[in-house]
Amino acid sequence: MKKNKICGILNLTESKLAINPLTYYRPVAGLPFACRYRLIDFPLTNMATAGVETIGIFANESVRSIYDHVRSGKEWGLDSINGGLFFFSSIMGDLRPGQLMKTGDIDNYFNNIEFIEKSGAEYVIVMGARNLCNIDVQTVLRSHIEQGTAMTVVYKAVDHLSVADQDLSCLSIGEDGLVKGLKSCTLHRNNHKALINTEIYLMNSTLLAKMIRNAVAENEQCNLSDVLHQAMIKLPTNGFEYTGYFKSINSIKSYYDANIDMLKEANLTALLKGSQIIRTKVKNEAPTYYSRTSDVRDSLVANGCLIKGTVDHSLVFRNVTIEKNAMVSSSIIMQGSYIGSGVELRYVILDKQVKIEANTKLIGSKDKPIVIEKNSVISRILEERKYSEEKMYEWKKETGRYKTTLLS
Amino acid sequence: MGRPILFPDIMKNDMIAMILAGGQGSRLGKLTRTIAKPAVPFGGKYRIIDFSLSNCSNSGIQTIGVVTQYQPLELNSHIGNGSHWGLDHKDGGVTILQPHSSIDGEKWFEGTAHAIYQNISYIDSHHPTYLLILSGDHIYKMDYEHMLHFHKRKNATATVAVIRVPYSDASRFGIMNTDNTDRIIEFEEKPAKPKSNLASMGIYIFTWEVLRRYLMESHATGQNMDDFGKNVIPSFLANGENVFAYAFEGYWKDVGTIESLWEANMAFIDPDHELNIRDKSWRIYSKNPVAPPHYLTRDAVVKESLVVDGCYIAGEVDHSIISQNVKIGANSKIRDSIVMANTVIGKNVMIDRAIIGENATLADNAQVIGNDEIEVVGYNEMVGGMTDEEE
Repeated sequence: MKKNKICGILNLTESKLAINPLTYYRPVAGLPFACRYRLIDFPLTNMATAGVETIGIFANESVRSIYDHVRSGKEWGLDSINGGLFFFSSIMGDLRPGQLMKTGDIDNYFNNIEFIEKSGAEYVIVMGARNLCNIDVQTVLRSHIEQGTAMTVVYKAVDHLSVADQDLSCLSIGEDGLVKGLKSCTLHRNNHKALINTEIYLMNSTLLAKMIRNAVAENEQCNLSDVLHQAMIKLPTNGFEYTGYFKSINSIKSYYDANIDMLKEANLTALLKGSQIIRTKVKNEAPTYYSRTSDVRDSLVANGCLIKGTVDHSLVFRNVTIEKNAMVSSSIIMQGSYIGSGVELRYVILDKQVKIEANTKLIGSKDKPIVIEKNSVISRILEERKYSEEKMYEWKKETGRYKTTLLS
Repeated sequence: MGRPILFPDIMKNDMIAMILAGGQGSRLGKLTRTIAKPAVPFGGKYRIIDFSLSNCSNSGIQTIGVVTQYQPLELNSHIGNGSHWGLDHKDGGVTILQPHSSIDGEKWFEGTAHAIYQNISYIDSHHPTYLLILSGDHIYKMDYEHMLHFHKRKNATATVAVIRVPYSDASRFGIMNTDNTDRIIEFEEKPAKPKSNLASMGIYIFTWEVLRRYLMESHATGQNMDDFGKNVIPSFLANGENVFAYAFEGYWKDVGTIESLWEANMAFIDPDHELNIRDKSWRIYSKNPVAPPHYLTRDAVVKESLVVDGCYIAGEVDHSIISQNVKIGANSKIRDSIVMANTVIGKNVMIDRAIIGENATLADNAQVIGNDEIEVVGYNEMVGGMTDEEE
């Protein structure tokens, strides 16, 4: 491929309220995934593997956690003398949890439209991070050129939609392969396959710049995704079917399910080791140690852990310690957490650096896993019904702190 | 590690390091047939040279020459530009130095000091005041800045790092006899009746100007100055140079044989091992290829073992080290063994007291059992395989 034929836009202004508290301090793209990745690794690898050398990362909040993870883009081979990563962040007021964004993200794109117009790339691919997939961008580009349409949108056909997927948008595609319309998945009839919009778009870069300019000229306070949805209906748009592993991370439940999905070898292979190996920031951790008292089954474990207890049907991230006689089942334990002896965790998500003191018991359910915030220290017996989210919010308003320290 | 020093001695290029990584390590048999000893894998995700390189990086040494000679390919690709150890500096960084021919003839390295003599122009180009000589063969953690501090405080022209060994073993080492100020008064190579138990670790700091003069003069006069232990240190002592012994305390291992490599690995499994590999303040870095987390199936049983990213384990692992991207099939049993990276182990395989090299393939029902001697399967080797019925 000719150098710099296609540039990329990584749209990190995705809605994240439903994934709180995991997204209090990070955009959806910064969510840790499958023991050692973050969601942003997927779009970055998808683009970099296909030879996209220039990528603009557009965000509407602090990109500290993202920047700390990707840095120069070296792990993805994006630190070459050509192109590289560009960060465009417009912080829209003080976005405390629960507060809605008042204006769209289109102004951020408009203010930085030079990135698109001066990149010199003929095509641009737009992606988010919440729609988890391992896609070959080269094939999408080839299809786009062959079809000769104004835009190409990538969709995933699924047999039935889960409750969590009700908020997604679905495409209807005519026999000519062109997009006819867009509708909410809630309106989807169950006798057909649902064609989920993956929010991956490919088009001429001049067309995208024009769309952004028009939207601003019409004084619309909207998001780039709205502009693209409208354009998809107005302009001839080619639908490209993606057939690999797909999951839209738009709630705690879908985040939990996507992680647990990785325990199935077919899913793990399809998403992480398929046609392209997903790259991520590399850490120098020691090998994981399993003691004689450990009993680990059907689980994924990263480097740097010390495991002396029982782990079943769970994901254990880097640098986690699980003490003797602890029992972790159907749970997601993020980096740096400590689980004391005699602890029992079922259907629990522990964010980074959580400490669960000895003999604590946390029992969630498959549909409603208990989520413990980053840096928490937990040392009492909790059950799902006592741990309602409403109470958590009240508690936070009173103290004005986000950190939950649940000490009895 | 030790007490903090307020005024770092290693200013930029004040001291540069030369790592001697040319050793063949012939007593490691199959494991060093195609790669140099410093490139031999250790502890599941390291290679032996990672310890010296990480020590340099953590000690603030920014310029390192790695002298290779024997089977350098694996080593060169492992080290690359040194970025994995944080050594890809703008000035200096890691340079691989290989023997080359010039108008003076072949520059094949005849010994440790000869390798330095052949690379004088590289060292001169960095204008160091002090030169640190290291071996790429040893497993240990050491702060070279402390040793340099000692070298300066003693006003030494040469400092030799020494470690106390049991008297029963002392006759296998180069032994330094010192006075009560740590000054070396006598050096004995493998003495039958050792007077002290201070063994040379093969780690030296020289005041470069002085060492350079010795090397140049001996070359000009045709004296043999090929080896630090045999020639250079005795010559320094004979000329009344200030040569001091810097006593190192801590874990230090030269894994010279299959048996000692296996033993060092087995001891490394213990999370309370003296090397303290999980210490964040003195990390041991390595080249880390990206691989997904490791997966243990419902039937897997893993006890008292180390496991690294990318593995898929369906069998039983007891007191063993399983390196990156290893696959272990159902009903296979691995005990007291080291399985190196990218090896595929089929079903019903038995491995006991063995070292399995990288990229090996063990077919279903294969057996690799060491008894008195550790059994070794070489790199890329295949054990077992298709029988007539399967063809």
